[in-house]
Amino acid sequence: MSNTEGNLGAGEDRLRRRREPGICVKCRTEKACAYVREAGYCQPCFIHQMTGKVRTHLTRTPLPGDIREVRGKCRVLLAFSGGPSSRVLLDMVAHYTGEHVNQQARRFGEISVVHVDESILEEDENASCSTLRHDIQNVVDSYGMRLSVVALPSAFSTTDDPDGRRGFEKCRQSYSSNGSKSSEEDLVRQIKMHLLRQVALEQGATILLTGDSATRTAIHTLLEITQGRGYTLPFLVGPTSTTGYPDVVVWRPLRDCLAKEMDQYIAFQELQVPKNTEKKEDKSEPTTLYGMTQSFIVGLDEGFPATASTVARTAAKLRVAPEALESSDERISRCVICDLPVQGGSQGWRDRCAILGRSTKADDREKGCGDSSKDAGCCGGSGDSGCNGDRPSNQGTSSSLPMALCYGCRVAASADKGKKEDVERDTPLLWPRYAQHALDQQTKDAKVEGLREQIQDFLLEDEEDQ
Amino acid sequence: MHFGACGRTLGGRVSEDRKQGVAKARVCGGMELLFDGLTLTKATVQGPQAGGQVEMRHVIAHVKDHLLTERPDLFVSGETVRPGILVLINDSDWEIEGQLDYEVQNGDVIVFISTLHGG
Amino acid sequence: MPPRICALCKEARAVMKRPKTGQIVCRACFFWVLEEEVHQTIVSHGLFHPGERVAIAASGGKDSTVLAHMMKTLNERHNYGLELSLLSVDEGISGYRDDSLETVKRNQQQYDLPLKIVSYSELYGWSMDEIVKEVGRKNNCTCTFCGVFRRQALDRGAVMLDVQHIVTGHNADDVAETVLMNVLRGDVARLGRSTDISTANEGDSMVKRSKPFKYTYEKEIVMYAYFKKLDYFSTECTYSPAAYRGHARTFLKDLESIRPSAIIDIIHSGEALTIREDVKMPTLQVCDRCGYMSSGPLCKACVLLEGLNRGLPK
Repeated sequence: MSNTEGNLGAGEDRLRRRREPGICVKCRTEKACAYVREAGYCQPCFIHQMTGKVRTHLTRTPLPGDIREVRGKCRVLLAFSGGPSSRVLLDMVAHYTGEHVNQQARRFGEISVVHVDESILEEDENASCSTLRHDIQNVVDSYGMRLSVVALPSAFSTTDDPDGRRGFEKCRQSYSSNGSKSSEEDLVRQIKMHLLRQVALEQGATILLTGDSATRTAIHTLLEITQGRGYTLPFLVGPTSTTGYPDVVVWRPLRDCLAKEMDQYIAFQELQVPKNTEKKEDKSEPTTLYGMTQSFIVGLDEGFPATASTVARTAAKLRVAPEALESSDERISRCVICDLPVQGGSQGWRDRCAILGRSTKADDREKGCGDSSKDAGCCGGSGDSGCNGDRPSNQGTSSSLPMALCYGCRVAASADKGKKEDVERDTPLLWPRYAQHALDQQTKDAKVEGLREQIQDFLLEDEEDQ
Repeated sequence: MHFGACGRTLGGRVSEDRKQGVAKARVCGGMELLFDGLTLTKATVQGPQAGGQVEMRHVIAHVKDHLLTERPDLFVSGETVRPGILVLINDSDWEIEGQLDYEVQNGDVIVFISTLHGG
Repeated sequence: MPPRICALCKEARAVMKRPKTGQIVCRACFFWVLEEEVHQTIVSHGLFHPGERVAIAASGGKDSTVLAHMMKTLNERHNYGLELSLLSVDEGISGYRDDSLETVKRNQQQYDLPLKIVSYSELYGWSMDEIVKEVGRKNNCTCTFCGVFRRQALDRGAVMLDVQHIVTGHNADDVAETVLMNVLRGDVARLGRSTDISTANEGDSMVKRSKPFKYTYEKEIVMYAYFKKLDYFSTECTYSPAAYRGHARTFLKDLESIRPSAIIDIIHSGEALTIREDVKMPTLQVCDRCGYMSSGPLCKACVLLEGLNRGLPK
């Protein structure tokens, strides 16, 4: 069992050489009935190799530092969308880390399940929502685990708008008018991750398991590169998020298994999958960065079957910039939307390679400073920032928004502003409540070195932009 | 999927009576080869309704149906041009002229430039 | 539609939309901003030093033609004090390179710069046409060998011209595409430096190479050439279409059509990508014969040459 892991590439080469058509490459006696990257397996060998990969991840990944002594007790939260990958994850985690596993091998304490209810994004919201919720509950119950459900808009809840729906809709609109459908999708992904981490924190869980497959990892690697998130990429698509987030470590135990393997596993184990992803498959041309990247990877994978695994493996070899690793340092600046470290100097980088104004630098600086008080509210996030009507707006705060965002979140928040010339340039950006809090906190800590300067730089850019 | 050996400018000028656009079309950037060597032509483009207005989408459809001699997939994608082909309307980027919705006027010069070739 | 006013001068009528910033600009401001960005790139990276002799790799295509024009313009405007020359490689591909070289020769007249042409047949005893006749038209091989030959040819041409620095017309789209390609191929050896603006002394070469157009969009280069009516040649190489690279290019163009800043965003990401120290890098050797990077004692180009010279078609 232990040697099923290791260098996948070399192992596969070896298998390929000894391959006999139609016969399982592992036991070499049974008929092959499942194919993974051109290697055929019989059913038991397929299950064996796949669970081997996942189990290795679950048992070998170092536990987060300060909970090592509570080995066997550390609480784990599993993110369950109801789709095939997280369905497989749930099954495997239940079988290979559950209570029946002998005491010595056990690393985790209680494992509970969380589902983010995204039905607000669906057109036939109520119909799809209730069946999905019901099916998810059944599946989780069958493993005897505890399920929490958190709704996407709850990140916006306020006293006036308890379920956060109004705030969410306003925020979505502000993103789609400022940017595009792609930006909106990105925002939803960020909010989801925030909510998952939020639940983990509330439950005292230090590990969050997600069902990202190799295919999805490959798609996300390209997508995040496209969105300018190269700096935080290792946190986002690595086998674990390591120290990317201040509180929870995200583990991605399925990142060595292709989406196709998930389907095969589900078929062999006869698992019930609550969310039927097939009906969502859209035959029309993709119109978002995610859709485009997905169809690119999936299409390429047909002609070059190693693509998804290659990309996923390459992404695992990336190193986090040393300064971003100092995450225990509370002074590290974090993006208020994605909560990952912000790369220093990226605004200056952008200004250098994309000039936005014609006058000389000196003129601009003077003008920028002079007008800053008057124009403080005119930037992307206007004075009416945040979806929280219960707080007086603070113009100074909103003008510092861009510095509080990482490059990727800033791109998403302002992407392609010029696309529709008729849309006012300064449509206010609205924020999830948590981001507004983080922003207020950052503003309070205004003593952070260079903050004033950064605000000025932004005002300057804004000035030029008008 | 390069433009193979194609890539200059196809343009067109819209003239004749007001309701049919006659556009002068130029092709450059190596795209001539898709057009059997054609670089400059005058085209009369008819809108979907006789006497109705002619938009850029109709010009592109016309170019594809009547002027293009090979590999339409290297020129169009859906009803618009393939990403990587620049379109100029009277020497102005069509992205600020309303793209497909631009209403073609008589005498307009439309230029298609491929960027998809070596350099 | 309301009149569209340039976002930079706020006066003239805008004629194009900049993909990188989303701003609409007039013709004069477009020329200014594009040149200024290239100038900023050159200055902030300290690409040149006064009195440096620099060769512009000129193929006659859009990128190198605009590069030659811009290098000459900026050198005069900002007093870089560079001694510029044009360097072309004649691969010996009839119907392609012979025509494009005519463009380069006209550019030489137009920009009044010295021109050096080095040919494959002169350097290696084989033109690409002869090589293809010998080895057959396998696209990928042809392009790989041609690429390696060209690199060496440029180096040797640089030596003949007595320059230590070559500038090439690689643009932002090319750099972004390279980032994507290296990720797709899992090429960890190249991934870390795929966005470097300059490569120096690689594979024992004494010649530094730089890409002043690293942040310049292909769309803007083509627009610049069009508005300035620059004389360039735009036919694809007869042996060119490499399917895989084509996919990545199409993908990049699709991304750009959804979010025009994607190209610059990919470069931003690419600059931050670093491979962990503990990852085993493929060991690269240096070719015994030509000193170029190689995975064996002889580089592929030299192996091919040897084969050709022995009359053993591969």
